[in-house]
Amino acid sequence: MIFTKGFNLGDEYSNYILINIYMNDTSNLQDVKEIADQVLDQDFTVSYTDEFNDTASIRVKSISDEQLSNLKEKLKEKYSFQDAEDNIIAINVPSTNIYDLVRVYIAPMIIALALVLIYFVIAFRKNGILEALLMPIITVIMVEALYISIIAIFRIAITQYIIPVGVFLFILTLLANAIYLKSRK
Amino acid sequence: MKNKLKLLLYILITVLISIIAFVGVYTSKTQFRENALPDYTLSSEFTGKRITYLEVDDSTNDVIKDKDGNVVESIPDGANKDDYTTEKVPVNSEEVKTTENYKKVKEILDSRLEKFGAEYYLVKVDEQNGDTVIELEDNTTTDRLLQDLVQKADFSIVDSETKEVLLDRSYIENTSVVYGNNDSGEVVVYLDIKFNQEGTNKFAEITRNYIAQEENENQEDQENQEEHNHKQVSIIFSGTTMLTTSFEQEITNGELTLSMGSARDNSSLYNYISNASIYSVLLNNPELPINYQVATSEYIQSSMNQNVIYFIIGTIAVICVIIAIYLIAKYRTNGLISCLGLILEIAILLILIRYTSTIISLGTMSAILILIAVETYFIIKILNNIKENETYENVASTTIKTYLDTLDLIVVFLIIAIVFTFMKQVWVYSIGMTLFYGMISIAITNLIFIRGMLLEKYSMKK
Repeated sequence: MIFTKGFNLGDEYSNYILINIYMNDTSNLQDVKEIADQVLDQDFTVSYTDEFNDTASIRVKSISDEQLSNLKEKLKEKYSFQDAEDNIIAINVPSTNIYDLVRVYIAPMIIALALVLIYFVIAFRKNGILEALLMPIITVIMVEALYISIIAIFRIAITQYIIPVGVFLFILTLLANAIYLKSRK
Repeated sequence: MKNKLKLLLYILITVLISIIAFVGVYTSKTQFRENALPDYTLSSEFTGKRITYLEVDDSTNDVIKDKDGNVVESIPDGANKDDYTTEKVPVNSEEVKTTENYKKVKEILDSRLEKFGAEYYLVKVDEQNGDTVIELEDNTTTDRLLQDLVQKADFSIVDSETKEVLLDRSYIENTSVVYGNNDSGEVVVYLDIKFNQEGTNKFAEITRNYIAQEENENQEDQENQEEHNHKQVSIIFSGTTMLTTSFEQEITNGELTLSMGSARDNSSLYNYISNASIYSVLLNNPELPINYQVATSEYIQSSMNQNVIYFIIGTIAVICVIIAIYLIAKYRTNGLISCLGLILEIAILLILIRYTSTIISLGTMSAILILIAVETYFIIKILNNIKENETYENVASTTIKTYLDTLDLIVVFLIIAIVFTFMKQVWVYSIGMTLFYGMISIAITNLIFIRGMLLEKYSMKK
């Protein structure tokens, strides 16, 4: 599934269009929302981009050239922009490479696993090196593989929650191994 | 009676700490009532990020050539303008706008950001047109970081007059920041550029050819010297001349040492060191194959709204309630005492998180869940052992024995906490720090409060 269809990237990480509207004064998000509602035919979010609330940002999955010029025209009219091109800037935010999200966790997880394995081999040598060494490696790989498989097979959207849950499972698996090996000592 | 009072005191302290942690301590030093506890530091997942949009520079430069085809900086005053031609040359030629180069840009930006020590970054490149979006934490250093990040970082030593490139960055082996002292006793910060073998030979030749001659009394030598003295090199970095100079003597060790500034005070020194380090990082990484310009750079609020945060806190609270119900149902009074301990553990952790400015990210939430799981394991293990031997002496010894019995779990826990804490990235070290402070709160809760309350309870039976 991963190799054929890949992961289902959530809104946060898939390609989207960000339209920044630089107001001359404090803006009302509701007004911007109403205008965007008239023009856009899909879900979008509107938020402030700074603490002064004079820049609004519309985030939408995609927008046609016609919709964009229509939006610019309506906003220009509403806020009396002299030049819509200066006040409204649309940027295409490319999708995120999943590796970029995961890679910061790879080094700490590998280092932690290696150090824990060394400790297991020293502390639980009576259990046999194979059990102290292989058991944690196999369980960590199995748990993480199962988690990734569930995400891929059930097309669960990759959001900000996915990786913290993966790290949670990793730590919990190592702690569970410590308890298991202790019980077998 | 004395034991009852002690038990009551434990309970009161637990309640007090919990109120401080969950509600706060409100004082009215100003006209508004303010919480005396430091605020939580939220990560960009909860607050917002700086989203910077870089676009491939499509502008053109005016290149002026004389009638012989030599490039000149400008048309000299009084010269015949017809002898010069001006060409519009694109900053980025069509040949450099390739998918391969766009991928290279991403690699270079990733590497630079890592070396600059950015705590959070995400680089997204559109491989079709090279447009790049960079997500960063928004703080006081972000603008400076962006300014340095998008530098092309080309480096060359050129003849100051003819602009002939004498040596470029392909001859650099590595760079480093070094320190020394000058005659006034100030600390001098240097950027040390070390050339490879071929570069060393070339640099030696340049320094030989561009030596500033001392004044000679001999008339003939003076004429030669004048010609020599005017020969200077310019050191150019990212299109800007850093320095125009000549050399005192031939340099054969292949090292160009540039002074970045000298100072006695820490603040100035820090600035010089930062500048030198930035140059060093940029020169130790490849130059960007394409020129970029910043189109927009805006702080965008997180899409994770207040409701999501309440949902996460609510979920943790529900888990705690389920654990509490289980403990009270199974272990009665001991279960109730342990529940107080569980609440106290979270309360102490929250206070530690506030005072140590530990950044709260989604990873922190998973760390808190792990801590709750570990604390529950400790509690159940202790209560299971106590149930069978309900005498004061047994309780005293079994609690200590149980803690010693879980030493392996604590070691594994600490290994993970320490490894994660020492990582650079905010989302990773926030997990490590939460686990570490969580371990401290677990230790305080178990060794002092839960054990103390259980002992007081059983000493009443004695």
